[in-house]
Amino acid sequence: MNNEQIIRRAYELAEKVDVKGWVECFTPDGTFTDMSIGVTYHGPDGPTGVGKTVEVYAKAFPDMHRELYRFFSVGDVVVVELALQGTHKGPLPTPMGILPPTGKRMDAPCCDVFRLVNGKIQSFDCYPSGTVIFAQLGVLSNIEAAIARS
Amino acid sequence: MTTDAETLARRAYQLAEGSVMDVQGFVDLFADDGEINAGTMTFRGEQLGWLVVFLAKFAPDIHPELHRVVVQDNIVAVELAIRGTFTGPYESPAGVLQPNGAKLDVPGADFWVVEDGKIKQFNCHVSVNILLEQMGVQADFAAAIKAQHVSKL
Repeated sequence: MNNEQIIRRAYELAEKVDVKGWVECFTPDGTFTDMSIGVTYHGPDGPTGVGKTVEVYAKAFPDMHRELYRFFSVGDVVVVELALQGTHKGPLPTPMGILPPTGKRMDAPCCDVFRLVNGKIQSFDCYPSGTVIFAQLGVLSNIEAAIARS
Repeated sequence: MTTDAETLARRAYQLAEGSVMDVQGFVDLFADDGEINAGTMTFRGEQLGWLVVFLAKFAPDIHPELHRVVVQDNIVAVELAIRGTFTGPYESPAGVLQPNGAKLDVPGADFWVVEDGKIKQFNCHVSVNILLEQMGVQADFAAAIKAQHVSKL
């Protein structure tokens, strides 16, 4: 498999919530950084493992789907433009607290950057549009209150 | 001047620097049907300079720090940080956020598509929620959920 095929397979495993398979796509010291919250997940297991986000999003959005638009593969890098889609039916943990299910639909742009070594993901930098997600879930309107307080 | 994809993308970043701020020069790099996609917004034609002007208003020293540039034929992908100081008013749909002098360092990933020596598409994936956080705007989920419940009554 070439690097693009490896990453396409990784997305398939994430779609199936095959967390073990997803984790095995990474090198043992592989990282997954959610750039929208500035958090990096390391290693195979536990609450800070690279599989955690797949688990969390599958619970928060049981119909979670990654719509892949464009692949761009050069050397050891694969860049993907995609949309994160799903219906918010479960609790969504965030650094600001847990967002209870809103029942609202998410369809947010995202850009993923993977670096591979010997067919494994060494780093995965994920750039989802956090503000679009929060706006679609209906929790961004409170910016008005924040601005009023400033 | 050569007009390969990487040269054009780097030129666009340079023209959008706070210290340069050549909005017309930035816009002129785009094809007639060129577009900028940022979040859920799309800009075309006369609107192409909007993003550059918007950023420089609240951070006049705005600087895109390019971490990694990857090029394949007519496509350029960039991982970067948008840096600057929050010294000007931030105009949001909800109102104006007054500057607090905070140092901004916001991660992003950009996609540039070039055709015939012009920028056809610029897709900007910036972590706006990190930007807001650094500006002092904190999400308040409790208030938001309460407001939702009230609106359903």
